Amino acid sequence: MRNIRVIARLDIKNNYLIKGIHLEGLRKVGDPHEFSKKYYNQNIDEILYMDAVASLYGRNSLLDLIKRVSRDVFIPLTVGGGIRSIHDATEILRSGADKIAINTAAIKDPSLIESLSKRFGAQCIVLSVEAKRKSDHTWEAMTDNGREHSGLDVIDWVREACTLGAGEVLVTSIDNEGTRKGFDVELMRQVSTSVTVPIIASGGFGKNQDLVDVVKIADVNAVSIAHDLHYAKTTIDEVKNYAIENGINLRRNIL
Amino acid sequence: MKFKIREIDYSKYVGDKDLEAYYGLPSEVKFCRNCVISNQRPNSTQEYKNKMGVKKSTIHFDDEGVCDACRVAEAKRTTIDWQERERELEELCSKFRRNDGQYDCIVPGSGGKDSVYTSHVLKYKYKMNPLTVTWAPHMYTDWGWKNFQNWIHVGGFDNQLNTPNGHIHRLLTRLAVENLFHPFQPFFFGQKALAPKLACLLNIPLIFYGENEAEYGNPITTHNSPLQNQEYYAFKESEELYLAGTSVRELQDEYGLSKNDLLPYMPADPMLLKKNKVQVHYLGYYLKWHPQSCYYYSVENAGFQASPERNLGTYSKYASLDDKIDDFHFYTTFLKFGIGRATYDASQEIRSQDIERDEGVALVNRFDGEYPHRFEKEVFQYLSINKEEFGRLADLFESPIMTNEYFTNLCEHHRSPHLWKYDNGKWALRHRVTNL
Amino acid sequence: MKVYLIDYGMGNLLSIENAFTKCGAEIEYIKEPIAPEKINHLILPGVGAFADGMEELSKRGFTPFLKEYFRLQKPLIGICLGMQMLFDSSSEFGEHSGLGFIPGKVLEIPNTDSGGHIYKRPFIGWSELNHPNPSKTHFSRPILKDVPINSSMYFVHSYYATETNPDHLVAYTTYGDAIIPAIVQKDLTVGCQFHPEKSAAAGLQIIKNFLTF
Repeated sequence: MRNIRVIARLDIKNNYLIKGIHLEGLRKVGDPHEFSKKYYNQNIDEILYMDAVASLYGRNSLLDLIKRVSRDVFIPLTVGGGIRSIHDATEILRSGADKIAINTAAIKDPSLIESLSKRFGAQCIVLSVEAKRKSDHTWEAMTDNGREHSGLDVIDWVREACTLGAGEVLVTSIDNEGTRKGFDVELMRQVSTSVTVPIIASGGFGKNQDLVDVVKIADVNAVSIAHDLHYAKTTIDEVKNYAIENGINLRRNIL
Repeated sequence: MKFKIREIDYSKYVGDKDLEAYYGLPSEVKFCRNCVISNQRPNSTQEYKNKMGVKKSTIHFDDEGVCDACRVAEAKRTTIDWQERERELEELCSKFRRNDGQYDCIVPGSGGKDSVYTSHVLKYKYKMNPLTVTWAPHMYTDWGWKNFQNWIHVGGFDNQLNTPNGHIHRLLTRLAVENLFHPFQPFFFGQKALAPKLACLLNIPLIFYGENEAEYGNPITTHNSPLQNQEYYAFKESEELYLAGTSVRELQDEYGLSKNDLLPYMPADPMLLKKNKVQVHYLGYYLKWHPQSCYYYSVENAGFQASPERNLGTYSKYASLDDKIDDFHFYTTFLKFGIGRATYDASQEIRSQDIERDEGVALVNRFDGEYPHRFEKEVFQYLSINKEEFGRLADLFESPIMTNEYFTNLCEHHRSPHLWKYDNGKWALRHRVTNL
Repeated sequence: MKVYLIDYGMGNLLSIENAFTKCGAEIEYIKEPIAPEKINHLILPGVGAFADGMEELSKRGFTPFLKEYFRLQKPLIGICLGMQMLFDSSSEFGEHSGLGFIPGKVLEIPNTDSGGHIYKRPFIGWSELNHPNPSKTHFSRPILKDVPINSSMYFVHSYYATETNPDHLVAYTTYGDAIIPAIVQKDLTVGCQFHPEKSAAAGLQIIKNFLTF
């Protein structure tokens, strides 16, 4: 077990930090740049920016935000949402992002994963999966911010994507996200045991124990938190200290 | 046989001169400068008088090209004194609140975000004792049913579900489609009239709906009153009443339906309403309405879940998701008025300041008018008036079974030439909303 | 203070520029060699495969340039793939020669330990810096001035340096049973396996320290 990473997830629409539920709703929270600086100073390990409407509007608008944030925030930044081509990825990486996350475009054309991975390296390519529960033990991968069916089983799709060169997998449970009822641990466990690349669990964090549960039971490598940080239901310190007390290795702030 | 394949005169749709405008719609098509609705948007119709040939009254645009609904939204932000309005609500509640365990108000709804919000806030914040009443959708979606149950069991409410005889409901729906191309009309009757009728029967005179239709385009003056226009749910018996575009007399004499069959669709009796002092209020008059906030509220308080997939014809997942016939309702409005579901949703979200106008334009052009294929099979089955189930009523239809061919014919028949052009076997809207 | 950054088409240069700028330096990109005498601080970045990296350097004429710069004994920092190329060779996608500035061989990180536990690759995450001498309580070498022992740094890699000279090992981290050289240094040439520009305040401190060389 390595140090588990705690990642702040920021869903963005038009330069606003927003927070939805079940990947729906545009409730504004505030200025994403300010929130990014705040989390950086509070010792967050990584920040994930998802453009919540890029697929819908057919445009990318995070470039400016990333350029600004990367001047103040010196931890890994991942950007996802509406990335459709090598050109899109290049622009985003050139603007200061370290990793890109893709979903819709990859499902439509899986060879894109291969091209991106060859061009930028697998460690730069995060497969983003929006998982909707279909039965007790199966999930479907959705696209377009949780709106369209792909017909693909999540586990099968993740396996395929990793052989094509995805270096990490971000798994978001649509059923749990925004509800604070805990992660979909079974989903995370199944994904984690099917591939050898690191897994980031996303969707449903509502109390500090949730991190401990999903790490211990599903063996994920990173955990993404949104609602509870944005609405100050907990702090990064609280989350990390609780995890450490419960036997989880995390990066501590010594400096 | 009354209902046959209609002949379509395609020449009406060619060229761009002297185009006929059906339904009495304005011949010139304009789009609001603030949201993306067009001037073809029909205002709420008096459904009890609705039959073929009735002229629609449509949304009003002012001299600046801004629609009434946007002006209402503006007033909500700038001129309405919401503190004062809330005070009025508290006064109203104090007047009707009962402390003897009996219900003191009725909240009609389906367990969607609006009725969840309305009932929850009245019960838990304003300490009323609501009875929620539901007029069943034509065909529940799985998630719609789940949300309805969660409303009751997670939100914590008493509920009375009223489901009309499916047989009659299907017949009326088919007739509404034939006569008016309006599959949702039978739902509207119950949605509006059930609560006032129950108010009389159960002696609960106060009724709360969600927001006023003026927020979506009905004449702006109607926004100044907390009360719903009685015309929507009551009707003077002396006038000729129409259901599904057919007079009640005809339904009884020629279709063989009985008074019993039609009872659920009857409007409330104005005399009885007066005697029982029934009042129908919009909670949206007293509390500033924001649909997306109702969504969040419903999730956080009553286990509401967004649709697991995008609603067809639009981009959203949180509104109007419990009836499989919904897709067809919006598709028919798209064909008749050139306005699809995305236009309605985007216009609402623009007025609510959730999205920008140019985003609305992109969404409308991407999603409006999507063919409702996801529940097509079930809906066609629903609309089929076959011999086995309906006996001789099947003889009224050249095509008792609803087929693709017959439905397509209906679609073509209802496209208004001033909105649609027909070119090389393809239909296209003459006017699409664009950025300013 | 001007710091030169080699742009050979591989690596997230903007992050490095932002971090060095934050530390008070002025970054100048060089896409082809310039006179080494002009340079006082040089950065060799890199993300991607070893063979590609060496080839891209070679294509643009950077190999002799770097050898000359190294001969002049001036401050050089190699980051991630940039550090790996400072060594003799790598076995990534076949045997390839590196710049040979620092003795060592680059091999793939084992993905299991002796107990059979799985260690995912690439190794992505934060890991603590350990002093090669377990009895020490703080780092004394200038590159790690004011960086507390056990500070976490951000690593992203699948290959690591082996057979290094103990004198060159400044700090290491562990992954499974593997001892991963995190910082190596020979004279004024420093290698960072992790990304100091992505390692928050502790990483920025390392950059500041390098600028004092």
